[in-house]
Formats: sequence, C-alpha cells, structure tokens
Amino acid sequence: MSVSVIDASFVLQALLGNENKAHSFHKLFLDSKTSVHAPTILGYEVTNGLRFTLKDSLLASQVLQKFAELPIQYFSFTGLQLKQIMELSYTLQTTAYDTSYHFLAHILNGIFYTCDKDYFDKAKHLPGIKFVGE
Amino acid sequence: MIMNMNTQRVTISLPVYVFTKLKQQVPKRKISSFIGKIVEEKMLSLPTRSIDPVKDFLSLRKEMPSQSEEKIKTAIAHGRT
Repeated sequence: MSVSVIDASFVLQALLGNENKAHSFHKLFLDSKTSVHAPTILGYEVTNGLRFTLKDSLLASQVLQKFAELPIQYFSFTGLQLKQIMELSYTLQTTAYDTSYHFLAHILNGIFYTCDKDYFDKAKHLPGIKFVGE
Repeated sequence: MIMNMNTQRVTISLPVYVFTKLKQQVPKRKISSFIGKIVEEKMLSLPTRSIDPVKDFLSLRKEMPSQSEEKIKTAIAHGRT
C-alpha cells in the first residue's frame, strides 16, 4: 500500500479550480493501492480557504461537511517532528505549514501531491513531491 | 430495548466533564443502556453513508464559483501575515 499526502491547495483546487484537478483528485482516492494522509492542519487550511473564498456561509458549511467525510487519515506531529519541520522550512525558505505536508510524506515514505507551485519550485529537488498541474 | 438484545461489550473514552455529568444524571447500573439508547437514536437520524464520498465532495463543484490558483492560495493563507 502506497501513501499519498495531500494539501489544502489540492483539495480546494479540485473543488474550485479546473476539471483536470478534480479528476486527478478523484483518481488518487479511487486508487485502492494508496491511502491518503494529511497533517491535521489540512482541516484548518481548507476551512480558512473556504471562509475567504465563499460568501455563502451555508454553502461553506455544506462543503466542509462533505470534506470531513473524505477518507483521509490525519496525523499529529510530535515536538521533535515539529522541530524538524521548522529546520526544513528554514532551509527551503518556505512556511512551516506548507513544509509539514512534505515532511509527512517523507516520514510515511509516500508522495506529497500539491497544486502550490511556489512551494513545489522551492522543494522539487527533494524526493517525494509531485506537482498537480493543468 | 437494548438490554433484551444481544450486546457487545466495548471500551470507549469520554471527556472527563462528560463522564462526570453522566454520573450525576444517570444511575451507575443504567449507564450502558443510556449510552446505547443515545447512540441508537443518533444513528437513526444520520443520513446513509455515501458509497463514494469523494464523488459527493466533487459534486459540489457545480455550485462553486470558479477561482484562480492565486486566489485559492491567498484564501488558504489569509490572516497569517
């Protein structure tokens, strides 16, 4: 069983972006040979993304409910792991938030799927990251 | 009635404040049946679980305003800086 890690950019672009990203998103979850994981921050980032994208709070709540039903396994970092995330984010000149997804993929020996081009460009020299483009 | 049916013994964890309140409200020997009834009532009111939650999630696309990658990225990080 392989491990896939997804971030908020992938979740929200699957929902609000072009059809290809939605297709990639669905395909990833349909793959019976992979399990989908994320750090717990995913929930906060998706919530904030919806909060500042959708004007209709009822619609945002409906989306969040459907999001909560997605088969994602959440991961909480230990203090030591947070320290490692911080060190990596200094090295990559990225935020600790973005780096946490990539770090999770690293410790689970999986692949991090992101639509965040800025993060990808800074971290693509490292293994375990794939950019979900057009 | 739950007590007359086959039962399965389970171990559950409750927040301390919930358990304290439970002990205050329900006699000690009735806690299992009380929790069983609450869970049963809740389960009956829940919608049937979807076979494909990903499809359900993506089905909301048709109600969503199309957003640029940059706008989505900004929304995710809004308020952090």
